[in-house]
Amino acid sequence: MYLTTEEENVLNGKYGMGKSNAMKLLVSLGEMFDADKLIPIKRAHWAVSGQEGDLFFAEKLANSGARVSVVTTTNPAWDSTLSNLFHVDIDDYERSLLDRTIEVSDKLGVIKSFNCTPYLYKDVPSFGEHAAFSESSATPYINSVYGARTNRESSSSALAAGVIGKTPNYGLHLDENRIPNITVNVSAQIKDDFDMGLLGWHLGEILKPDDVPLIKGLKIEMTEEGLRDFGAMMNTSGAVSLFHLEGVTPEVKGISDTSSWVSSRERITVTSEDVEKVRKKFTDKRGKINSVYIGCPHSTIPEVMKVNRLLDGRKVNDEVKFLIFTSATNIKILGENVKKLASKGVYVMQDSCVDEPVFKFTEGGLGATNSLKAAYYRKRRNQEFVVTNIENLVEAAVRGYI
Amino acid sequence: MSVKSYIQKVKAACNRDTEGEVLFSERSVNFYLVDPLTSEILEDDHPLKGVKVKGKALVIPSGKGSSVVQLDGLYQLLTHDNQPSMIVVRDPDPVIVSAAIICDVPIVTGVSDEFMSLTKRGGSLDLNCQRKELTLIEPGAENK
Repeated sequence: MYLTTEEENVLNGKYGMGKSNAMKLLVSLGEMFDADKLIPIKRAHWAVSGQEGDLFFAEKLANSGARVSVVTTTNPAWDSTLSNLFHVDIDDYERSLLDRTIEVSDKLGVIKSFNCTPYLYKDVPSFGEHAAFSESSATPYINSVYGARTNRESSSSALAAGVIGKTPNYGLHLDENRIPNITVNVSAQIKDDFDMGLLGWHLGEILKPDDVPLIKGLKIEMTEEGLRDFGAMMNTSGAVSLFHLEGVTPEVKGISDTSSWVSSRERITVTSEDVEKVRKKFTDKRGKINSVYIGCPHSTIPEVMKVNRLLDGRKVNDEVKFLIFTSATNIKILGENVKKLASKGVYVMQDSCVDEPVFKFTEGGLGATNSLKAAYYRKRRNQEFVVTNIENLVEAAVRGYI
Repeated sequence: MSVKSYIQKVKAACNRDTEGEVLFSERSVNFYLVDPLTSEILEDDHPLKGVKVKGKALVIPSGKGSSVVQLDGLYQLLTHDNQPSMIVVRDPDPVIVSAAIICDVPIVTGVSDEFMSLTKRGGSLDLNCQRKELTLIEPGAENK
């Protein structure tokens, strides 16, 4: 990979070891993926989640003087006030991970947005803009829905890019890699946002990481939630960073005859059977539930208000903790609604990710969620989930079982 | 009996030579769902559920999992000295590659399909980091 003299200087430590270490990671990646050079970016999203692997690298950079040079937002960790609210014993180690996250964020000069959907409202790249976004829903969303350009960055490579203000020019930054190589005909009936997640999960399992699918046959009106979940689930079961939805996403919108655009003749069909198989895999448990998790990735304002509407004056069962995860920005905009929901037994929380120790009070029991991703990752924390749509979750929360 | 070995030029992010017994996985491995204390794969319907990755030359089709967890999973293995000796990945992505670089686990790609399918039979892999050469030594060869 070609480096300018200035970039060589950064690599060789002229501007400190922090920048040098960031540059080393970018150069190693560039060489593994045959990048020709580094290209400038305007923004990065660092999917730090208060976990040790991330902190190890971030502290290595920060402690040797690195600071970000472009706007860099962060993923959620957990809101420290929740341990009192839920009477959860947080041990010193767990607390230290949160403290270290905040401390290293300040040192690095990142924006502590603690939100996994920065691409909705806050940090929105324009069509064709180069960026470095990690986070399994952020990467596909800005690539596909906005037509911006990012590779499927790791949290650390996105942070390194934020520090340097550049990213290696390969993969999805290049025109030729954004052309679909496979056509997906969806004959399955996709009815709502939840089904979009199921479809995404199935496609993640069957597509290869470099695949760029052109998806046809979807008849529902797309929502930002459906598109968010489609990408998030596809990147939990697999790794597909760019998709084109016929008639929806900007890079296919102007092309009337997409058949000639697909460089490969490879075609697959997704049937109702395929989607039902995913549904069955995640929904086969029934019983008393101790919790409902909504907001992996973070909920939008319409989703929070939907829960409010569906509850329709009723209260959540005393045995059930109803948890909604969203951004601090959304909490602020929701205002009084957050309090109203709290009085019905619904906790709308900011800054937090489902996969954090402060939610250990639900471990060991059965939960319910609309997120296949939440179900998948909380398994390591010894919690099983029934996965279903928001309508069913609200009914289950009132009844206390599913 | 002669030792059968196959050698191939590869792309690798590494800073040392390394070797290990082949652990071929038909499916991707998510390091977050590998037990850091035992190095056993925990994922329920994974064909290698219960198999240990420690010290193995792990051969996988691709990376998998959200942007954070591959690094954290691999880092946890590293802190317990339970990491694989190398990762050979057919379709690499930046997540798995940067996780390996940060955790100092040599990662290899650019391996031909033919070479990949030979690893299915087991044996061991030897990476020459400087020359970017990967050698497969067939199973049983070490008992010649």
